[in-house]
Amino acid sequence: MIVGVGGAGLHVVNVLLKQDMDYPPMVVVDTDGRALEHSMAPQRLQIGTGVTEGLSTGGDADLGRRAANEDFVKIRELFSDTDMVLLVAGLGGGVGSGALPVLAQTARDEGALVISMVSMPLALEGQDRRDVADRAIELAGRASHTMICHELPEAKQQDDPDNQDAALPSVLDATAQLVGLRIRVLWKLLEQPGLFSVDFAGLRHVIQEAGRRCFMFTAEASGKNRASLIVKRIKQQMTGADITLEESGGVMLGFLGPEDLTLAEMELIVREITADMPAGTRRQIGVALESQARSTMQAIVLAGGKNEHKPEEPATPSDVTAGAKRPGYLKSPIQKEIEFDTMKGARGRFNNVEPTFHNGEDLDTPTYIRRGMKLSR
Amino acid sequence: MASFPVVALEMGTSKVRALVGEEREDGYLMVIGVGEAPSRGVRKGEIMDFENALACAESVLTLAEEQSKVSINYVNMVITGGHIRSVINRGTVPVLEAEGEITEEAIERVSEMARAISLPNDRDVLHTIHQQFYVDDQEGVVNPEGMVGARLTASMLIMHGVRNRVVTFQKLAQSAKVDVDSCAFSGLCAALAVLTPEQKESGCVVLDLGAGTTDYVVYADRCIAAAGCIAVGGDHITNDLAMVLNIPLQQSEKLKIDVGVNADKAAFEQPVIIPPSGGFSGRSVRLRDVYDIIDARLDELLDMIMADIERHGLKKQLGAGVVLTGGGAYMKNVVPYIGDKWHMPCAIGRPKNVSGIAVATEGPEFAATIGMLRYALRHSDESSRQGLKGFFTRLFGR
Repeated sequence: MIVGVGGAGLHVVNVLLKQDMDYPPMVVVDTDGRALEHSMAPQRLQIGTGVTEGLSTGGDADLGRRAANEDFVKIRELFSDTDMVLLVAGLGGGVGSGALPVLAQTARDEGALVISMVSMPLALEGQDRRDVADRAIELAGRASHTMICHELPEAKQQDDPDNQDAALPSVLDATAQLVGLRIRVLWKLLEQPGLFSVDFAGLRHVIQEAGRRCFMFTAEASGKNRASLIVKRIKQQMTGADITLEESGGVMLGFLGPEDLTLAEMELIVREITADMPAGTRRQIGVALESQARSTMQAIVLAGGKNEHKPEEPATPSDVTAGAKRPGYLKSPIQKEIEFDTMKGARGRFNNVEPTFHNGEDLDTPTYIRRGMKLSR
Repeated sequence: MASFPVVALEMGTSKVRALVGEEREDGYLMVIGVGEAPSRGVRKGEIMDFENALACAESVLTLAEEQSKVSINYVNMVITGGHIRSVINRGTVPVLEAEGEITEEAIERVSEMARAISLPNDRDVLHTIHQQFYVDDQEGVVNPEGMVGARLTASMLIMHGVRNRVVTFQKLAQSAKVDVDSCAFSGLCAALAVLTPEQKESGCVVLDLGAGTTDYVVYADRCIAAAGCIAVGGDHITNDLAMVLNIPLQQSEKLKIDVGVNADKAAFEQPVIIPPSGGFSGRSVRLRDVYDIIDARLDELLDMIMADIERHGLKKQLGAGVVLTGGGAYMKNVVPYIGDKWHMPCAIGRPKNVSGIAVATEGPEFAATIGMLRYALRHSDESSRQGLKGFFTRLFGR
């Protein structure tokens, strides 16, 4: 089930519905009755009529949360008997930031796998909206199984230089189109079994390795040179967003293509995109086929930002090297650091006890070791 | 005349306790028998070794029997464990009476609806606790009877756990030749023992820092707004120290209590001497490392709990702050540490309105067991008078 939450979510769902493809059930959720009327979604849920009187939240995230809480029962009914929920929202506003965590948690409690796909507000919207968005990422990220957060390209970063002068509605529309395309490819990949499939667990793994905030790049191209065109476009976007895969903790490449997709094309794209990644980084590759795609090929690259969890390389103290140069100088013995890597997953007295997991971490292993802290010398 | 004596049994991770108590006419709880022994066979609040746990239970029951001169046939069990979860459920009914007046029957119907929840096959409901009513859009209604509205909603906090693990506790009691009268979640019991009506009114968190689990119960607006259990406790801190510093468990247990926590770690370069004992030759470790290790664990635990409190939007409603119970409250500096971290008042919770044997009536580690006695006293009281109907409301609610 795809659920559009708040104004931006509604817009994306509209874009998706305009495309000709068999989607899972689509639902939109908002407080604003008028906005819902304009939505094309077959199922619309208005929440919080008691708190907002059917109007919008006016960007108040707290109001959004209260609205969702008020119609908790309706929301729960919505998610009963659903296996997978993709929540789509733009952060920074009222419903998108406030109601999203509640929706995610409810869907999760009802037994669905929950992916939240959110976009950050544009920089021009101001710092306070970004703060609200950061808060929502914290909360919704905990509530959902997996969260994909994308920064949308700013006007100056659009890959097409003509867009500099594009009118605002068309830019917004292009943005929604972009998110729509991403969802479309992602959904196809998750839903279609066989071939090279990316399943939910694989996706979650990449996102976890990558840290909470992922970047997503998409490109589509057709014709003979489609593979190299896609590589070029994705690289352009990466340069635009100032991202290199060198620092990324993990990457997922997904292809949605016609039946004549060749191995050589895939190879080319994977090789080019992952060229500057360190050898040990996790990569997932998924392919889904679409018979009516003719010759258009689409690709998404989901990459983590900087991997902040990586422990820093311990710097060699200069006095040790200095000492080594003078063989006659007697160094006092330095206690070797205990190699915690060998202790990863060590549990001491809890060895034979059922582990307690929280966000994929085994809580029985000392926090000190899990966080890669080091004993002082 | 004092009430009939009741017995509470707690199979904790570090201690097993049995208390015998009766209620005096002035409402005070009189503890007349105490049995306590180090626990074996319990890890993270759950029974891992039935034989050993049974031996512990039998010995504490005998101790309590001897002291109180009461023969124990029924016990009330305090249970905990990481499998215990809470969920808020709501039910809504239209008000059908002619003038929209809400009757007792409508309240009964809506409560029934809010209680009805479908759980996975292996789980059972432990408690259903009334939170509040909503009449149309009006929030926080305490008792809607006689009010006028078009629709009535009730919200209920439902605690549930894995059936087999709860049954294991009951089977343990039966093997010790006693019957189980009732079972209650240890966090709720602790809250029942230590909180004053004022604290419930202004909102607070009861944090039961046990050896195997950390239980929490959040009161806001005089109702229980959230509750939960995380299977991380004092044992984990002991184990962390032992593993990271490579010292024996007994030594790290002592280190945990004596050194405790300190958020301001930078200034502590001096060593702590760990004395030799049985095969371990003694060692010196840096104070700062000890603080670091304990701090990392406690920080993570508190963050997990605060995340749940914030998820319910309750952080701003905790005027009375944090009340600490359980053996973890003895850790040095833990009270200011939590207070500073969460920016709210923090205090150790001691059982209220209890008299009798001194050891059992003063310490925060007895809070849950004492609370169980209170629970049991009201339980037997209510069930003999009017059945179980709505008694949780009166007990935990207001």
